[in-house]
Amino acid sequence: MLYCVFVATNDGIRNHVRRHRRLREWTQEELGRRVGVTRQTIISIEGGKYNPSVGLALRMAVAFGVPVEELFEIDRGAGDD
Amino acid sequence: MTEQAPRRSALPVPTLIQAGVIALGIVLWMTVGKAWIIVAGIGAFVPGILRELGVMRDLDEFQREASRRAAFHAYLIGGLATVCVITGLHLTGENVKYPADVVTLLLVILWLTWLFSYLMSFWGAQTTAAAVLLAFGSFWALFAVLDGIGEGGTFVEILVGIGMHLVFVVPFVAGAYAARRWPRVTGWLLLAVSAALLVLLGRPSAQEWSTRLLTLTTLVVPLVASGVGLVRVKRRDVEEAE
Repeated sequence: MLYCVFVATNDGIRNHVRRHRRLREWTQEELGRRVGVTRQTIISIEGGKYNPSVGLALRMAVAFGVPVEELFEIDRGAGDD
Repeated sequence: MTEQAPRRSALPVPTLIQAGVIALGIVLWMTVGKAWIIVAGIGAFVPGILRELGVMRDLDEFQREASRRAAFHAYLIGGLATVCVITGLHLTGENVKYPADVVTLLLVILWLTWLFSYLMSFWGAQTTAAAVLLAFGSFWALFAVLDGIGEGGTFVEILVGIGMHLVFVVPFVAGAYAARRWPRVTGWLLLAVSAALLVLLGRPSAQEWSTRLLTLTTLVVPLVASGVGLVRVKRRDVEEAE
């Protein structure tokens, strides 16, 4: 069935959310609470299955205290962190 | 602070309540009377309307996008199915004895498409296939028991009647168990079972064609959708799931 083909992709965006989260020893649920989303959304972002909106990306950058470019970058074919 | 194990999250509470209302409506539809499908309809569509109106704000952006993507998929597949049914009716000149069955068929296709797409956004192919197969197997088992009891007769006759219906539950339950361990093999097996069921149940019979089509759809569509999703599982997805 065609609908089984339609899954989210990361569209060539790579993120370092998991690395920054672990540096601060936050759980996925805690990060979700800080930026106003569910834990499953954090799981999907860290797994590269979902690219957050601009607003959410900026809120994550503020929560981590880093520029948003340190969290998200264009994937130029490098391996996952 | 310790790292949480990377497991799949449960669905939010409002979604679980919604699923419960839909399940209740389907059970009432199957057991009490077909007009009770209104309960399933309320569970399926009213929360979405309330969310679009801004009354309910229980979903975050990922959940909203998953819901909208699923709705678009349901529009595409449901629209195609509707056009096929209309075309078939015009070409065959078939008179619809039970028009509600035809409309129910289209609604089932629409809703199953939405369900598969939405769940796959969260769970991926393996878990979605296993969960949906188990749910459909449970419904068929419940239907088998209620139908067997409803037909009456001796205790042995009732057991035999239930047993005959439960044969259709086996591919669902077996598929749910095997989907996690051997996804690609299970996928091909489910597709083969679907083809066999199509041949077996698609033969002309005394039953009204719209009723037969509805039975086929609720029986075969979950198997086919799960099978296709499972055969596409990549090796690294299997390793991550383990």
